[in-house]
Amino acid sequence: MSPTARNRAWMGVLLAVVVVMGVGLARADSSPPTLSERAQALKETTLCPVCDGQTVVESNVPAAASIRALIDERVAAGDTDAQVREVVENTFPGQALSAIPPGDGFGGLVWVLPIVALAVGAAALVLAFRRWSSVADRRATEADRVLVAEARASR
Amino acid sequence: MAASLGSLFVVFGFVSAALAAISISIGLATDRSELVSMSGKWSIWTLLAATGATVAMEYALLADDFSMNYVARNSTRSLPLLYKIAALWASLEGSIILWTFVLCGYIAAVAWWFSKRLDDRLLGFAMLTLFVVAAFFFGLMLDVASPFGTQANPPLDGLGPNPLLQNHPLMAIHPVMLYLGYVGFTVPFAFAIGALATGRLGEGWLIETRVWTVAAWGFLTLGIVLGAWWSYEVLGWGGYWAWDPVENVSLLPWLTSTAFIHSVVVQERRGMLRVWNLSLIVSTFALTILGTFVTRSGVLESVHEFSESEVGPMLLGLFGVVVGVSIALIFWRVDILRSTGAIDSPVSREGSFLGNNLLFAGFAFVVMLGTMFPLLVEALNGDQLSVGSPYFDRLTAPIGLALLFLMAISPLLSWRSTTPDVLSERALMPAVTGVVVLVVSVAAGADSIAEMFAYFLAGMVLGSAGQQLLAAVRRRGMAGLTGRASGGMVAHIGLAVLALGFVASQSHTSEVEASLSPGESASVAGHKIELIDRIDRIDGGNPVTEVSLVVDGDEIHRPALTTYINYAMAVGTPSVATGWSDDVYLVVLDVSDSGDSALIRVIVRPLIGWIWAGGLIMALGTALALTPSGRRSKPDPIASSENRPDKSVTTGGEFTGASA
Amino acid sequence: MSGEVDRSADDSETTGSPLWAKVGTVIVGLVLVGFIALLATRDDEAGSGVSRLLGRAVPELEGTTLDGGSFDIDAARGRWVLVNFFASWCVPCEVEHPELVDFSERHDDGSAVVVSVLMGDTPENGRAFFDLRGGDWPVIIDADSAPARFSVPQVPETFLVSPSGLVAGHWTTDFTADSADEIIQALS
Repeated sequence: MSPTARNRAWMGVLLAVVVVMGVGLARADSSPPTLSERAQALKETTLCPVCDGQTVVESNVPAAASIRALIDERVAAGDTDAQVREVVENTFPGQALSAIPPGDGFGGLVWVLPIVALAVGAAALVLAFRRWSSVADRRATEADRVLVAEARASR
Repeated sequence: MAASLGSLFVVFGFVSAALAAISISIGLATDRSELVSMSGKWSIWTLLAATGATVAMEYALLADDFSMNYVARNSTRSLPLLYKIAALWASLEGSIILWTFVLCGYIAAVAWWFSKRLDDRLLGFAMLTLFVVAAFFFGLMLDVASPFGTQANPPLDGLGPNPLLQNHPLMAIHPVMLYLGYVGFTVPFAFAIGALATGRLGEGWLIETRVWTVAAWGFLTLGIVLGAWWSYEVLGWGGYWAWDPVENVSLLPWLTSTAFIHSVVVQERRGMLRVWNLSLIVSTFALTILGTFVTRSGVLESVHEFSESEVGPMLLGLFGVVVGVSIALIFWRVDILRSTGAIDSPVSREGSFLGNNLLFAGFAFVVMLGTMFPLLVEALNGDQLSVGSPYFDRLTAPIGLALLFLMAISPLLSWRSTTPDVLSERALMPAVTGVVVLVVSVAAGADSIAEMFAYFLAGMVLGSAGQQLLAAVRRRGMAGLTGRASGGMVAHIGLAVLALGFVASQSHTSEVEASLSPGESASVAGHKIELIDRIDRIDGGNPVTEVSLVVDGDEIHRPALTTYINYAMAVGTPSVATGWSDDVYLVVLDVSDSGDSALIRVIVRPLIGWIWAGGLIMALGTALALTPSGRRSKPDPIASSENRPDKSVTTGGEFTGASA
Repeated sequence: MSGEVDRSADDSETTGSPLWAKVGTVIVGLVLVGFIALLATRDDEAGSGVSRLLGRAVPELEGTTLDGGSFDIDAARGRWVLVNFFASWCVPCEVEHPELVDFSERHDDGSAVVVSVLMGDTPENGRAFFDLRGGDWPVIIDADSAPARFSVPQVPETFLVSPSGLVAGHWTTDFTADSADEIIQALS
């Protein structure tokens, strides 16, 4: 394929991706969530107090059923999501029932640390590539010859 | 009878593993190679002992010998044969028998594989490590997890395994696969220790353990996927992965070992990343121990768990010893672990492997941190907090997308460096494949941006792996499908299929609960479910209610609700109508005592079967990768381990001097 | 500059100095020591059995009863109320049931009422449980959110509510009629 034809093909691919994704997004349901959708979302992020990290949706034990009922009641009574969470959190003190760790305070570290670690790792990798490329430049010919020989030998 | 024989085998196994470790140590310390090379004979004795203990337990299970506590707790007369056999791994003590059996099998296989070189010091240290681990597990069975305890007045019938462990045949396979994977990583770990101890830190040990590492990885992959499949088929909530601590700790060694099998290639080619690779394989082994600790100690479970056992502290101790010894050895060898290689360009195969390792390490960090963070917070300031699936979903989704991107691009890159021109030519067909998959998925209803990116990238992965395989087949015929590179591409295809199933099933779920009487039907996501009848019967002493449901007018499914008398527990047995495009998942939630209606939950999730298919394809890829490709002559293992001899002799001597 | 010097400089540049590698190893080691210490010293004590409700106003409790009637705890204000959460499949519930019957009989003058809440069970099973083991007090069959409002994760749990509507006593598995009466006498 000639370079120009290839470039045209890539433009086509790009265009197709943008258009198709646009179609998908345009179809997405953007109406505000209904009461039952809100209740469902809350249940999916509320842990059952007696079942090893399962949410109350996944578990069928009585305590989970009871919390589901409590969430339905509070949502129907007009509470906001935050208010419902507070009510649920207060029902079983000493246990954290929200499956979403808090975003602030010491607990917020659980969100921050992975991002910091990945950023540091990525930065270290970029620095390493920089150093390697400068080294490679300085003794390019010799290293090249060795590597080519190695590559040939192992092929 | 079986009990006393079993105990005898355990003692015999412990003694022979301990003697093996002692005599190999003496041989290594005094340079007596005849003692070192005895490891082959010792491996036969330990395998014999472990086999004896396993057979004794299986015999007792099959013979309904309820005078043995383990049998009384984990089996019943009416239990079907398959589950009687599987009761070996239904709870802690039996699982340790299985673990030990698998480990001794691996030890004997290593001794056989390297039988001509057992006097080699590196192998000596590796065998020593293996025997120490084996002695540890035999030791557990001597005391804290003794499986052969008996009672004077045996009950007439046993309790039987936990109901969840006795209603699906996958239970018979999935733990075995998981253990073959977990335990398999002991082998590369032992060789890493051997390399560190002898100072022969070249690529020799990596190449020699490659087969073992890849095989263990394949088993672990299959074990995890089958485990997810089992929980989907059995647990009755229609999901398969909940990011609970036990699942997380099984994923951790998979993440580090996947990073390892990619990064070893960089070390093989360039002699780089030695410390990193050692760390990865040590981490993988240590994480399998940590995973067993977490599963068995109840340390991460909620307040009402009572599976506390003395095995926990012992496993934590082993974890400590493993990481302690490894770190000390790496610290000691840091000077000769330095490498002089360089990577020329980030846009190269090895460059992309480094990116892959960064992402896998990040993924493992997220999973580890999320799993352990509640403990950390509680220890530091007494607060309670939970880290559940929303956290893992949000943080791992971008990492997963980035990994898919690398999987799509990496196979297209050349070693050393790739020009944009070449890349644009090679990536075109994969990109077109991605567009095709994207179009199909949007037509089928995909509507969120992350989801659509995932489909596009998974499509690209299929395209680039397929393109590579096609080229290999063109060059060498069907034999082109074998060997590490092609097997790897098949595994990539498997993962892409799995990713498609995962993303689709996580993104679109329709769920309805309906109370149906015979003749009534419910309609969910285009499927019609009609209740035909309800049968109440007694099965193995337990009342069972079976509901016949017709899905879409032809397929009959019979989900059931069984009340396990011994456990005072009603367990629903879901039935799944599996299809290419979606699954209809049927669970009986409740049955009315009078009348013939039943409360049914119907869950429809798309492409869920693709996850299991993907896992099986990954296992196939592993098998292909292990099939010799015949493309290049196998490197002589002796030569390759001795081709960096400059330091080995002197440092080996140093070690001997230090330990003598 | 000689070739030798140049090369060694390159090496340290590409791989970092061994000092850093050693420091790194030590740091990783220390983190792991801390990690193991964290796991080893983890206190497995379950949360204390003291209910958060003790001394507080009783949560609302109303529902349909086994005999088709209804029960509302507010209507019982002015009398002591014993609220028991149970299920027919729960062995500790069977064990403590005679104590509940005993308590109910001691107070059949109307000084106290007993109400049971069926949790995670069918009404049929609940009825069979009472037929077999005695007791003629109301049994609420549509618990819904009541267990959550009372912070009851598992059966059985029992609460003693004072005539003014405050929770005065709480038992998880060890309810006895005597201990309930002790509280009643102390507070009357």
